[in-house]
Formats: sequence, structure tokens, C-alpha cells
Amino acid sequence: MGIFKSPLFSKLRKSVGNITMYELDGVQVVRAKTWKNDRQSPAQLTQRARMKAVKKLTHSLADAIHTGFPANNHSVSINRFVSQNIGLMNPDENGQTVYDISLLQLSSGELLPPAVTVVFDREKRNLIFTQERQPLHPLSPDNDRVYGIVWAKEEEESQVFPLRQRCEPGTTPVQLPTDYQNCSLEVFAFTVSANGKKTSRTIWLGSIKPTQ
Amino acid sequence: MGILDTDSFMHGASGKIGGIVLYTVDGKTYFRQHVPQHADARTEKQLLQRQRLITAQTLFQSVKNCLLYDVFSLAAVQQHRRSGYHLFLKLNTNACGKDYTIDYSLLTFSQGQLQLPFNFRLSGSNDRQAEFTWSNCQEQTTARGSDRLQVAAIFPDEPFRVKILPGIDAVRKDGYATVPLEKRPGGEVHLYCFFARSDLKSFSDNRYFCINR
Repeated sequence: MGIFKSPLFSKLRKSVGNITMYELDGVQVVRAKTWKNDRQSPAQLTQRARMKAVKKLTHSLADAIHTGFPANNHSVSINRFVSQNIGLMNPDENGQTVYDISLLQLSSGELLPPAVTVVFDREKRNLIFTQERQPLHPLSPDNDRVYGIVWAKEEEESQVFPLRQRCEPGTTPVQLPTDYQNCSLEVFAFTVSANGKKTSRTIWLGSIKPTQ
Repeated sequence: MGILDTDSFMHGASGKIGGIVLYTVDGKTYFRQHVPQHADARTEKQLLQRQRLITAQTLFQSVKNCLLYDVFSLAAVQQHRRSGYHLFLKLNTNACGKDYTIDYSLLTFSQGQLQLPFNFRLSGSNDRQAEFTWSNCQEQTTARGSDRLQVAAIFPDEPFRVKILPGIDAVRKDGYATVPLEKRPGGEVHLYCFFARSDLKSFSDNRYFCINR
């Protein structure tokens, strides 16, 4: 792939013969057309299975990914999510992919992760997030916002709940959507800076089964 | 980067003309070349400077919520600085080092025209309080007897948060002060003492003391 700058061809796009030109993130790009590569080597099949599994997650976790990997373009957020998590996917011989859900990263960055726990209140049928106050540090500013992510894995849906700021200890009750009441939930948390540009890594708070 | 004269017809302009960017800061109009793509080299020096800046900015987060903000705002006006925030960074970035470390003896939390008293000393301390003594100098415009002692402190469990200690009633003419310390985990407590005029419109420079509890 080549990058070029030309006043004459600044808006040039589409293909001429084997050459394709387009604009990507403000720069003019030229590349050769790709040929379909459908090799069936074990390594390639494994990589395809990994990619298929991680791309499947992006549909149900779209809002969380957009919050946890802030970028101007949503596809950049998706790419960052894929690069963070593709290594977790372990396809077996039957084509099924298993992964350790506690290692799943819905965000990545240099900020310190939040000090937060979650419990399920069976009487009120809601989740209660409890935050501890974290000391002020260059990587944990007071005005960072903590986010809780509730993922109904079987339903392939998720919701992002903004919680308190990092400097505010206390509890935040979160009312679960009615269609989440009967499915297993995975709960994650991460922090986002006040300007929405920096994030922490994700911590997994646990699995919750409201029916039990 | 260039500066446009105040009598230029483009003075006060902002925006982009071709490859030239114009902007106005503090009444001065600047022009510079437009940089289409930011090259982030991430050299060791660059990363160190970013860490130092972030450390100083973190310290300023706690300064914003107390009397020290007024101290820096006033000093910025007197020294023709852009703002108290910019003055704070100028004075304290050099006290910050690699991996978010701080040399607390180099920090400055107060600047002003009031005079610090002679023989200003830490005469004693324990877990609960610190005692200071100073010579009671002659009354003058930069040192009034009613000037109140203020103490900013950094405790070991919150090494990036500075706080003005409450409950200090000592004034300059007393010649001594007993400063109550909060009950916190043991370690080094960094104290920055300065005097403030009773109307909080004028301040002195600070004097640094360290107590090991």
C-alpha cells in the first residue's frame, strides 16, 4: 500500500486496471487489487475461526466498545477491540471457540482500573455497583467516570451504565432491563477520562444469574 | 511561528488560509504553518516530559479546590502570566520526575509580595501536631501583625493531593503556631507554610518543612 500527495489527484478514488485509489483518514492511498486467498491450511483455518469469534462479539458489545475504545471512527474502535482480544480465542478441532471471559478487554489504556464491585439485589431485581474512593494519581484523576457494562451473552445484548466519578465512593443501583431478568449476565467495568479520550483496562466483576 | 502587529489589518483573525494557520492568544495574533499530520516520535525525552506534565497537572487538580487557586491566580496577574494554572506548571513541573515521582522540597504552592518572617522554624512535631516559631518582625506594609499563617500539606497516603490544613488561628504577631495534623497512615508529611493577609488578597512565598511520623 502506498501513500501519495498530489494536488491534481487529491480526490481520486476507485480503480484503474489493477490499481485502486482511495482516501483513508485524510491521506490518499494507492494499492494493488487483492486476489482471493482461500487456502485451507490449519493455521489459516484457526485464524479465521478466531476472527469469526471475536467479530461476533463486536455486535453484542458495540456500545461498550465505542465507549472503551474512543475514536472518531467506529471501525477504528472495532479494530482496536479485535486486536486486543483475538489472542484470547482458542478454537478447538470441532470449530468451537472457547475463551476466558474474565480476560476479555472492552477497553484498553494507561489509566488505572476502577475499584468497584457488584452484587445482585434479588428483592429489587437490580444490580448494585459499589465504588471505593481511589487516591489521586496521575493515572487515576478524580474526575474519571466509571462505567459498568452488563452483557447478556446468550441474548447477545449489552448495556453500558455510567456510574460515579472515581473520587466519589458509594453505591449505584442499576435497574436491569426486563429481558435480562432470565439470562446469565457478565459484568465488567472500566474508567474513561473526563474528556472521553483516555481509558483504563477492563476488569471483570463476575457472572450473575438472576434466576438462581 | 510569527506574530502580527496590532496595527495589521489581520490582527485578531483566526482560522486557516491555505497552509497558514492564524490564531489569537491573550490579544496577540500568531501565524504558523499548518501541520497536516502529527508525528508522535515517543522518544524517551518526550515521554519523560509528558509524565512530568501529567504529574504537575494532577497536583493542580487538588489546588483548584482550595485557597491555593486564589494564590496562583493573583500571582499570575502580578507576574503577567496567562493564568494561575500556567504559573503553577511553570513553577512545579521541574519538581516532577520519571515514573510520576516528585521532589517535594522543590514544589512551590505560594508566591506573593508579603514577607516571610525571620527565623521561621519547625520547633517540634508529633503524630497529632506540628509547632512552628518565628521572629516577630516590625510592622510594615509587607508584614502586618494580622497576617494569618496558612499551611498546605501533602500526606503519604495521598501523595498527589495538596490540602490547606484547617483550624490554624495563628497570626504573624503571635510568633508561634501549633498546627493540628490529620490522623493518617505514617510516613513523610510535607508542609508548605505561608502567610496570607486577612482579606486574602496578598500572600507570601512558602517555606517547606518535612515531618516523618
